[in-house]
Amino acid sequence: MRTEFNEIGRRSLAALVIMAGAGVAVPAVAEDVEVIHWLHTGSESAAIQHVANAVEARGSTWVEIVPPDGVSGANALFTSRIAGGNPPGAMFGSIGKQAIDLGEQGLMRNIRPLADAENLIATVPQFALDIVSSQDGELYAIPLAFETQNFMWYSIPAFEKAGLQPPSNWGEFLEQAPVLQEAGIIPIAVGAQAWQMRILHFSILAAEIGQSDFMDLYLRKDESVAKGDGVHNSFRILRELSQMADAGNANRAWNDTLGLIADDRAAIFVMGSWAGGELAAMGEVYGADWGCSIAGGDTWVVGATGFMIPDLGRESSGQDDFIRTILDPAVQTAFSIEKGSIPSRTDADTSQLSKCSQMVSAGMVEGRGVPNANSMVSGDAQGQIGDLLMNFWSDQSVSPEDAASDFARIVLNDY
Amino acid sequence: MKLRPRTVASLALVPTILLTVIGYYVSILWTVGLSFTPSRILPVARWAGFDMYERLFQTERWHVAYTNLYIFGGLYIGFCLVIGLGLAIALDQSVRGRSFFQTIFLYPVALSFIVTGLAWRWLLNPTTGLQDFVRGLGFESFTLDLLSSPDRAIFTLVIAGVWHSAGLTMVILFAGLQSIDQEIWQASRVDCIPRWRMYWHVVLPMLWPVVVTCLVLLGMQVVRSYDLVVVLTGGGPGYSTDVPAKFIVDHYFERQNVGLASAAATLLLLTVVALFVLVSILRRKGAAT
Repeated sequence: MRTEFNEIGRRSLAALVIMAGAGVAVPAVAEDVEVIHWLHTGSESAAIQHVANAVEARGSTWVEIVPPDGVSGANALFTSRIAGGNPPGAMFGSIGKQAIDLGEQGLMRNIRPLADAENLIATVPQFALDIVSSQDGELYAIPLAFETQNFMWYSIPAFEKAGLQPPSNWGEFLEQAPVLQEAGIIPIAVGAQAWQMRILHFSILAAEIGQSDFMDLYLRKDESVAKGDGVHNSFRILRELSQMADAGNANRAWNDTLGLIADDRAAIFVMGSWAGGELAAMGEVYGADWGCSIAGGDTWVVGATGFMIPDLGRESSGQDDFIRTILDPAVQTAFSIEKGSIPSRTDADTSQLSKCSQMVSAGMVEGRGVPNANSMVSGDAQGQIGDLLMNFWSDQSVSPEDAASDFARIVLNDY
Repeated sequence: MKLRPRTVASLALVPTILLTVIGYYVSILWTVGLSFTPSRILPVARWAGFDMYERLFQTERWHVAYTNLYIFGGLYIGFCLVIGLGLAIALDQSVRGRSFFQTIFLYPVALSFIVTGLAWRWLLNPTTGLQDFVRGLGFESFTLDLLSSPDRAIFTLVIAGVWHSAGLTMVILFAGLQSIDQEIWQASRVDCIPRWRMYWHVVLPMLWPVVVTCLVLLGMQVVRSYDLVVVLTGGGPGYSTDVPAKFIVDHYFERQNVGLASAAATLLLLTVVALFVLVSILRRKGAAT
C-alpha cells in the first residue's frame, strides 16, 4: 500500500510526473503500472500513447514517469528506485545486457512463465529473447519494436553524377570510392562520435562474418571468431574508410552528417532507421533523392527497443496487463508506424510501414536478423570499444592488426 | 525560559548545516568509499583495495584527460586574465561608448557553454564551416582544420572558452580598476611616471585580490569543464581532448562503472583541494604585501 508521503516523494524525484486519470477515482480492483520512459517528442509520444491507451483498455491504470533530461535522467531514476527497494513497473530502453545483470542480482521479474502460458513470444525472433535471458532461460525484458542499425542511406544524384550504381558489399564500395572522389563526391559520410563509430564498425563486421559468427562473437564471446580474419578485415576496411572521409568528420552530429547525403555532397552514410525519417523531414524524396539498402551482406542488425520488467516482490495485475499489451501485435504495429521502427512479433501487420522498414521486416521473417552488438556487451566494454574505434579512426599510426587484437581482448574480457 | 538571540540563530541554522553536511560531505565520503569497491551499475559494499586506482592509472584515456586539465586550464585562465586585463585597461582610458563596448564584450557570458560550443563547432568544421566558406570565396588554399587534428583540437576549447569568459574577467577587473583611488594618477603625473609603469608596478599589485578572485572563478570553470567539451569536440578526435569531468560522467552513467568513476572523481577532488591550498597561499601573500 502506498502512503501519501511516498506519492509526493516520487513526484519530486521524477521532476515531471504525468498521471493519466489522476483526477478520476480509481476503483479498488484496477491496479496501476508505473512506466519510466522518455518518449516525449511529437511522433514518439504519439507512439507511446497507443501503448498507454491499450493498457487502460485492459482495465489497468497507466502511470508514466518522464524525466525531462531523457535517457540519463531515466537511468539515474531507475537505478536509484531499484536500489531504494521501490522499483517501477517497467523501464523503457534498448534492452540487453543490463537486464541480465540486474536479473542475476534477483532484481528483475522472470516473464517467461506468463509469456509461455499465454503464447505471447512464439513469433518473436529468438535472438531478441536471448539477449535478455539468463543462461537457464529466465526472461527479464520484453521487446516492443526493432530499430534497424545498419542501413546504408545513399544519395541517388551523387551516384548518378559518378555514373555508378549503389554498391551491394564493402569490396565493391572500396572500388567505387576513387571514382566518386574524382567526381568531387565524398565517398562516405562519417560522424566520428563513439556511438556512430560503433554502428559503422559492427555494420562492417556483420557483413564480414555473417549472422552466426556475429552471435558467437558478442553473445558467447567465442575466441576463434574474435581472433579470426573477419575481425581483422573489419578494421582494414575501417582504415581505408578513415582515409577517404572528409576532414570535417570529427565529432560531427549524425544529423549534420546526414545533411551531406541530403545535399548530395556524400554518397553513402551508415546509420540507423531514424535517419530515414529525418531525410523525409528535410524534404528529400524517397526513390528520387535518396534510397536505402543494407550496409553489406544480408544480415540486418537490429536494436531491440522494449521494457525491462523489475520484480515488484508481489503479484501485480497492472504489470501483467502491461506485458500483454506490449506483446499485442496490433499495439506493436500502431507503435511502429508512429515511431518508424518495426514490430518485434513477426506476425504483426507491416503493410503500412515505410519501404525501408518493410525490407527489414521481410528479413526478420526469413530469420536474417542479429541484435545490436551494444546490447550484448556491458556498458563498460561498449565504452572501451568506442575509445578504441575513435583512437583508431583518428590516429593513422595504429595498425588494423593491433586494433583487432585490442578489440578481441575487450570483447573476451567482458564479464 | 528565554533563549538568547545567539542560540536562536544557531538553532535556525541547524537544518541548513545538516543539509550541507549530508548533501556535500557525506556524499564526498560515500564517493571516496565507492572508489575502493568493484561497483558496476549499482553500488556494492565489497572491498577491492586500490584495484580501481590501478586500472585508472593503466588507462591511457585518463592520462590524456588529466594532462588536458592542465593544458586547457593553464591556457584558458592565462588568456582570460591577459585579455580581460587588456580590455579592462582599455576601457579605463575613458574611451567614448564605454558601456557599449562593455556590453559587447560581456555578451558571450550570457550564453551557456552548450551554445558556445555548438556555435564554434559549426564555425570550425572544415567541411561545412568557415574554411568551406572562405574557400568558396576563391581562397582555395585557406586551411582551418584545428578541430580535426588530435594535436591541436585542444586549442579550439581554449579559443571558445576564452571567447566566452574573457568578458566576465574584464568586468570584474574593470570594477577593481574603478575602485582604485584616482589620486594616485595625479601623483604619477606630478612625478612624470609613464602610464604603463603605473599599471605594472602600482595598479596591478593593488588589484591582486581581484585577480585572485578571477583565478578562483575561472579555475572552477576549468574543473567542471564538461559541457563545452561534450558539445565542441566530444572529447575527440579519438579521446585527445578528453577532460576528467567528462571521463567521470561517462564512466558513472554511460559505462556503468561506478567504482572506476569514483576513483577518478576522488583524484579530481584531491587535485582541487591541492589547488585550493595554493590559492589560499596566494591570497595570504597578496594580503601580506
